[in-house]
Formats: sequence, C-alpha cells, structure tokens
Amino acid sequence: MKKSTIAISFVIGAFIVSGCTATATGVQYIDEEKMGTSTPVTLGLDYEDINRASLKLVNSMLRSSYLEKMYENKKRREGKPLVLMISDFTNDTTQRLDIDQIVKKIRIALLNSGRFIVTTAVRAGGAEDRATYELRKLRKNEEFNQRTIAKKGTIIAPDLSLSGKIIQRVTELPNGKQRVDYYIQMSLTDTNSGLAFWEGEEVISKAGSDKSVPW
Amino acid sequence: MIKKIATLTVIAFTILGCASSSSPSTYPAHKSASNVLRSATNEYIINNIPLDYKVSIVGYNSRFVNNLLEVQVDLKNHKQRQYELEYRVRWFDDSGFEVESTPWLPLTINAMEFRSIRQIAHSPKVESFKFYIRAKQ
Repeated sequence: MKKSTIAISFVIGAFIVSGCTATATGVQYIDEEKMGTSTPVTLGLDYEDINRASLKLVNSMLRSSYLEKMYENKKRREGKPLVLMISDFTNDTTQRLDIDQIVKKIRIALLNSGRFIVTTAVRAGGAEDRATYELRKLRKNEEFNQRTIAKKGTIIAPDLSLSGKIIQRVTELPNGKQRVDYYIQMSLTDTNSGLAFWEGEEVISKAGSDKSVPW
Repeated sequence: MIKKIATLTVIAFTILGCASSSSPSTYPAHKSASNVLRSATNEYIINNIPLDYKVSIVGYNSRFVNNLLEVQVDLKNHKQRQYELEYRVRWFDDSGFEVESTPWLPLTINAMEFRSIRQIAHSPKVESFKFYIRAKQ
C-alpha cells in the first residue's frame, strides 16, 4: 500500500515537473500565416487591431490627391520629400495605449513611400529625439571639433503635422453582452496654412461578455 | 484538419507586370487604363476549384496612383450563404523580389454578393502583386 502511494506520488510529481517545461505550458510562436485572422482574445485593442487599422489609414493617406499635389509642388521647388511631425494624440479610452504603436506603422509606411520624412526634432510636448538639441549645446565646447557640430538654422521645420484621437464607446447589448467601439481618427494638417489636407477614421468594433473588461 | 488545410490558400491570383492585355478565358477581360500600366508581361492564375465553386475572382484591375500601384480585385459569391474569408496581398518589385505584404485580412462576403477589394502598395518600387484568398482559419 505504501509502495503504491509512493509510486502514485512519483507519477504526480513527474507531471508537475513536466508541467514546468516550456513545451507543456503551451507557449508557442504565432505563425505569420495565422496573424491577423485569429479570434479576438480581448475586448481591448490588440496588436492585430492596430495593425489592420494603421494599414487602412496609410492606404487612405497614400491615395490622397491633395497630398500628392503637395508632394509634387515641394519636389519641384526643393527636390525633397514632405517633412512630417507627430502632434497630439488623445487617448480617450480606458486602456493605457502607447500611441507610437499605431503611429510607428504609419511612419514606416510613409517613409517607404518616398514622399514623407518624419522629423524627430519637433513633437507635441517636446522633441522626440533630444539628441538634436543636446548636440547643439556643445557649440563653443573646446573638446569638440566645431566643424562637426550642426550650425544654427539647420533644423528643417515640418510641412505637415499628424494628430489624432482614439475614442472608446461601450454599449450594453440586449443579449447581455457588451459592444465596444474604438474610433481611431487622424488628421494631417498643413503647418503653413493650418488646413487639414487629409482626414481618416477607422472603427474597430468588438462584442463580448459583459464580465470581460475592455482594458 | 486535412479538410481545413485543403481550403487554405484556396485561390492564389497572380498578376505579374499588371498586364491587362490577356486574361484567362474563364475570367472576363478587364480594361485597365493602359497609360498607367508600366509593363505587360506574363500573367497567370492559380485557382482552387472547391472554393471557386462558391466564391470566385471575376475580375481585377490595377493602376498607378501617386506612383504607387493600386489594385482592385472583384469577387463574387455564387451561393445563397455567407462566407468568412481572408485575403492578403504580396507586393513585388520589377525583379520579382517581395517588397512588402499585408497581413491576412478578414472578409465577409454575403450571399450572392459582388465585392471589390482595393489595396495600395506603400512603396514606389512595387511593380506587381499577388492576391491570395482563403477560407477563414
């Protein structure tokens, strides 16, 4: 009896130990083929939502005839692409969102298009990359070769500014579930005229149990 | 599982060089604005019969918008039921190297619905594309 008890506890022990290995916990890489199509696991905004929304917004931006005209004018005048700055993004949701998650994908796509360059010297709330300003503080510093320090008046001002807002609305459904809608809105403003040359909105709607929370 | 795999990547619709000159006999020829098409080389369509019986590609079109390749693929649901599908576009440069691709994107097509899908390449290097559609995974 005692022997069988020991044997059983060995088996249970072995199960527990094997449960601690990586394979038994079911952790796996998500294959690219499955990405973008899996059933949503959360009522919050996940990677796939952001991926899809930014793709659609970029598609809309790149089709804009106003932006194309602006680009053509600048190219003819200066032979350079449009300079874009990232402005204010309001997060009106219950989630703690890093706006760069959404904006980065848009920035990469715009850069690849060859029409836009994003400035990191100016951003709402301060420079995105402080190095531009920190290096300029080294003027007259004898330890540095002054020829390698950027001259005054060399930072390029942006032509356009990208701003946006993410809104969340929760609605109770008659079947006891809840519906969560996210509105991702963006505007591209000409910094010279203050006119919005492009506006885009993507709506992501999800429904789930009222016991789950969208954050 | 095997059945599911069989429905994977059910229609791979490939247009190399975005040619508008010749279309396979099973698909109607679509006129593209010839002045915006850069090349007219070969084109081919790999079609999966099981899904094509239900949902098929009935046409396509392509053009350059702001120097970026834009494509429109027309789908038709031949059945009296709704289908959950997924599609993606892969973009290639003139040497046939893949420049970028979209993730699989969900698509619901209603009974007997005719649906057009539009996508635009994000790089001016893109000269051709491949369109893939499959049943929802």
